[in-house]
Amino acid sequence: MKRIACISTITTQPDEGDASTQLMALYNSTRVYNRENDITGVFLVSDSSCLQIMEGNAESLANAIYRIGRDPRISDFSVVMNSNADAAEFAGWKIRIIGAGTDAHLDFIARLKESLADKIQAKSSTDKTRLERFFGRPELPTPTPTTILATPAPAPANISSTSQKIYDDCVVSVSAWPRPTQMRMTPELIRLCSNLTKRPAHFERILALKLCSSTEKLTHYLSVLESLGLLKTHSSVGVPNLRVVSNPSIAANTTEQAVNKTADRFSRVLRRFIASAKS
Amino acid sequence: MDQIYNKLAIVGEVGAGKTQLINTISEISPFATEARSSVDIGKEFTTVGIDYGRLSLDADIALGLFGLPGQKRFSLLWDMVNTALWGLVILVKYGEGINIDAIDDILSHFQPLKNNVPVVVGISHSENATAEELDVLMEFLEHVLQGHGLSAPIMPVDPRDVESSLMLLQMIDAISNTEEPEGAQLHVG
Repeated sequence: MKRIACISTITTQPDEGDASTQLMALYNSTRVYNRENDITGVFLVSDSSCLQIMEGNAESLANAIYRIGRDPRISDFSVVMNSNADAAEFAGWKIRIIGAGTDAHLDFIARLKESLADKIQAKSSTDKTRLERFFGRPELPTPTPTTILATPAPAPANISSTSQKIYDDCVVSVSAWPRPTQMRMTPELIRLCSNLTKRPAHFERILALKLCSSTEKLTHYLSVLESLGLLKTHSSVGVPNLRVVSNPSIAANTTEQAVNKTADRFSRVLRRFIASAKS
Repeated sequence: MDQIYNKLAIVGEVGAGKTQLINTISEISPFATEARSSVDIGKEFTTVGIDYGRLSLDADIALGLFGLPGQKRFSLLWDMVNTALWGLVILVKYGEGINIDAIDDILSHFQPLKNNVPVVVGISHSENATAEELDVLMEFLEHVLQGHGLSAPIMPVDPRDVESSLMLLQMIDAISNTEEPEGAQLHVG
């Protein structure tokens, strides 16, 4: 079995989406190719530098290297390690994302360094610079912690009154649903996200819709969503063309009313069914 | 009172758990179109057509469950179901990487944004996945959804488990019951 490491620079292509789209496409095609050819390994990216370590039989690796070398998304390609291996070092590794600067990240780099760094050799000053990005323990920004949050408890009154001031003059929306690994999906949160991912809403309006059982809970959910970078807030003060509409029955014609009535009834019965099935 | 019959499409790749999900939710034995697989796909039988199940919620209210294969070559079957959908569940099997193109095909064909159909993505076979591993997969999926102008909940699901399976329905219900634009929180005027 052979183990090869190569370093390269990822170049973005015009008309093929933003950098993250292209990086995902590159990662995905590499992963699919490696799986189909029994190649295991590691795919690391730091800024535009990419370090790939691959393990497999010599022929598969040669084909993979040939393929990477011809990939227009890759430039300054250089093989920095070519060694024999008794067994796959990374066979059991699954894909994972590691936040930059976290303990997990530093542990991972330390492990990689311990097992491979002495075998990896830079062929040029460019290679050296790029490898230092991975093994040189650069000063990394403090990561935003990804916290698994428990069910929100009502905040103490003094906190809620302060927090509410943050949102009570705001129009808010949710840019994406939180992942279950970030927040527990309670029925209130589901209702809140369902509404706010579709369109922005004024804080007072959300309160009026009674999506949450209390103002404190609503404020708490919004705070957590904001800390996750999922909440967009826009102050409604001083925006002349925005006003809160308090009357929900605007221009609803008879057909729409009938459709809504049917949907409401279906929803009501479904909820009752789910509640009884769960109990 | 008029009868209410809504349709839920459940689309996913081979082995994602569509048949099992319908089995779990449906009150009737699903009308399945399973056949013995001629190639090794990790299970003996696979669906070659539409799985159909039904959930009667009241005397005159029912939800039809349609399990559809996820490959584009079955788009003829997608067309048979893709009218006035109540919801679209995309089942993604965790473990062997995701086929982004296939999910793209599904979203392009069903056009949930244009048709105003709520979408939920369920990740099956993820019992042994770590939170970090799920995060990576969800990031991929979010990216694909965003490409179609969608923001949809992505959640692990165990199609064998009633509560977990019903959570998908709960999500679809929540999304389809958001406030209508008339009643708008904001009015541009």
